[in-house]
Amino acid sequence: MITVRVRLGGGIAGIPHVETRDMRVEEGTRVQELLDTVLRDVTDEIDWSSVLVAVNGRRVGDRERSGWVLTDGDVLSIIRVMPGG
Amino acid sequence: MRTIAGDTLYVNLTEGRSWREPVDPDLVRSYLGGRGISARYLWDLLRPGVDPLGPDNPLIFGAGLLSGTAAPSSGRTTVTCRSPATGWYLKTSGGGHFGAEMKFAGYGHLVVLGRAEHPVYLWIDDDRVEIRDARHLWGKDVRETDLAVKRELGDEDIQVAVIGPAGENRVVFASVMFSVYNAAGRGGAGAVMGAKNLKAIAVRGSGVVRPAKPARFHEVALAARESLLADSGAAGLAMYGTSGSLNLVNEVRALASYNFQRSHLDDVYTITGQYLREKGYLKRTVACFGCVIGCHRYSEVQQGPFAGTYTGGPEYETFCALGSGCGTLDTEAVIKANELANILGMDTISAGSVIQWAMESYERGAITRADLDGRELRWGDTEAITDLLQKIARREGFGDVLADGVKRAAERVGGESYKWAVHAKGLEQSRVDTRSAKAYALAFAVNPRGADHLHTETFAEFGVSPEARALIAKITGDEKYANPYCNEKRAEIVRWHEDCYAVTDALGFCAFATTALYGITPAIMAEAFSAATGYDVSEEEIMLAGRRIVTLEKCFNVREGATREDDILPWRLMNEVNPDRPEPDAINSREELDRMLDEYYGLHGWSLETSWPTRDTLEHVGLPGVADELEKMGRIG
Repeated sequence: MITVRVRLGGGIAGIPHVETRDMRVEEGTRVQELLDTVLRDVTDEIDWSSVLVAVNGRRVGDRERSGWVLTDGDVLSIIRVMPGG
Repeated sequence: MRTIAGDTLYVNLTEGRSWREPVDPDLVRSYLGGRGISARYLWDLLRPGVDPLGPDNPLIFGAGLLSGTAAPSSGRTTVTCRSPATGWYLKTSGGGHFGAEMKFAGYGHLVVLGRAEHPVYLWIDDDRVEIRDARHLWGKDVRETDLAVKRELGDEDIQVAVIGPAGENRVVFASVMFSVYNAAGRGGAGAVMGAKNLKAIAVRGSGVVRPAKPARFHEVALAARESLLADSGAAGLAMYGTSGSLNLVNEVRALASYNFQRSHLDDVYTITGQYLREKGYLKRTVACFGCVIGCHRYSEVQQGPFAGTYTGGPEYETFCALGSGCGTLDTEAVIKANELANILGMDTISAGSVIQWAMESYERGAITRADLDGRELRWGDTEAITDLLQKIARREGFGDVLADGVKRAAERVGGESYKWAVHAKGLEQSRVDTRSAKAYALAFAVNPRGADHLHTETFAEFGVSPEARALIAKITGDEKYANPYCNEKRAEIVRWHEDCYAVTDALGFCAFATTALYGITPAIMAEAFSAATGYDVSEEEIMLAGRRIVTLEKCFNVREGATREDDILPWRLMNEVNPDRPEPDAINSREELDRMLDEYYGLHGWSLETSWPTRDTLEHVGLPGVADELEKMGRIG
């Protein structure tokens, strides 16, 4: 088992701030699998056009998620994003 | 009826006279308007080497070409001069309604020359121009001055550009404030205005700006509006403003905190636009002229020690500069600091940056309580932040040192304090950690005015919207380059954004409509320009005009002596790894920057050795006369 820190919110699933929780998952778990698990618990409706999915700050694109293997200590961010500057 | 470009109004404060001249149509074709024509005026009017705070530094206000029309989000006004902060080229722009009012009065540009003997303000009432005594206004803050001028002139609906005490005292990051809370903030245009003894410019216009092809222009404006509103980020920007993006920047380890010693904090909710709205600090949202988004917010504190505070903002940059950068996430304290910076007339980015530098200097022992009039200065000390803002604006105590900007402050304090003076070319860096945003890094290094984002906003590299990813794919050929940690293809990304941003500014569009949201494309801008002027201009031609503007601004600095050595990033970012992303690429190394610069200069057709444009390049972009002048000086690439 490995531990992945999940940071979720910024407007997703009615969570305005960014919640942090540590999750124990099987070795070899991929980003998409953990996304499915996390989001199943909190919401079933996501507008993916404005969601950042990142591992340790590095954005994980739509097509990379099913192949990206998480490792122990990774931080997975799933947050709603807005433009700004 | 007013022409689309308007006339140019010249005011010579030394001689106490003004006159107007029509704009040469060739200038409009070549430089479009606003920022572009201002760049040309500055090139032609300014003698190299003049003192930025002397009477010979022209101060040019340029309304966007489309300001005052139905084009959406087209209310930006550019202020152009030689910067007292950097000594280099300065263009700084603000929103609000000032530029549109200039156009209604019949002027596209206002060129202020010389220096008045005593404080004055300008009153531009259509054709009538008066230079009026302002001695009774000197010392008043921005809000007080705006109100006093409107009362004196008996019209609450006029538009006023104002400087506060910071501009009067020549703080090198003093801003020009439009409509009270819209800042042309960066680079010290407010100090130039103060040095001219010009406290304010009031404008009232009664005309209508008429495009050359009104029916076609109306169609294009409507299409632009629909395109902008269809962008996937439009609703979020309208709902939460620029500070709605703070979570994103924090998650990708680019949130400049503790003077760039941190790039990620556990929870930044209290300094986000979401928090302002959810907790009732957001008093109202405000749209600049013609804007269909309305991202500007006014915030209010109703209770506690800062009760009664009311101000425009805080924007993203302000929350970082006066919040996380200074080690505080106290919403109300940042709103208070923002109010002070606005009414004192100071750029929040630079003001926050010098305070952060002082905090770190105190922590490291480079300055002591004796330097700080007997007080301590620790991270997160919100009372110290508000106290220092006032001292800077009035040049009291250590505020006098900070008022000259972080570069000069570090030179005065000495030791190793230059290492945490986060600036380039003398301009305090905008609040994005470029070790986690490589296109921003290159853009900041080559920006003629110094390290900031309002010359080339490469937000698309974050790749967080379908539109952003599509744009990166269009520029580079592959969406995979929508990755801020990647240092490949950054030159292509930067150059495209430079061209687009220059066109955006010249037409008066807001950059949020073109390079943060992407609804107003270069193709739409070309159509709008064509319908407005009657010239038939393609997307490629208008982007070439953008490059002409960018290149001329570069040449301004070359004429003043700039070389490749000046295209650099702050010491800290080039020598210290981003502590919240301890990976090998989390630094703006010399090698990486050099490689990106080589690619960038190569794309432009500039010398890799000196960064100077070649004659071929200058002729290609339509600047043969500039090539002649630089060649005579021996500064051709």
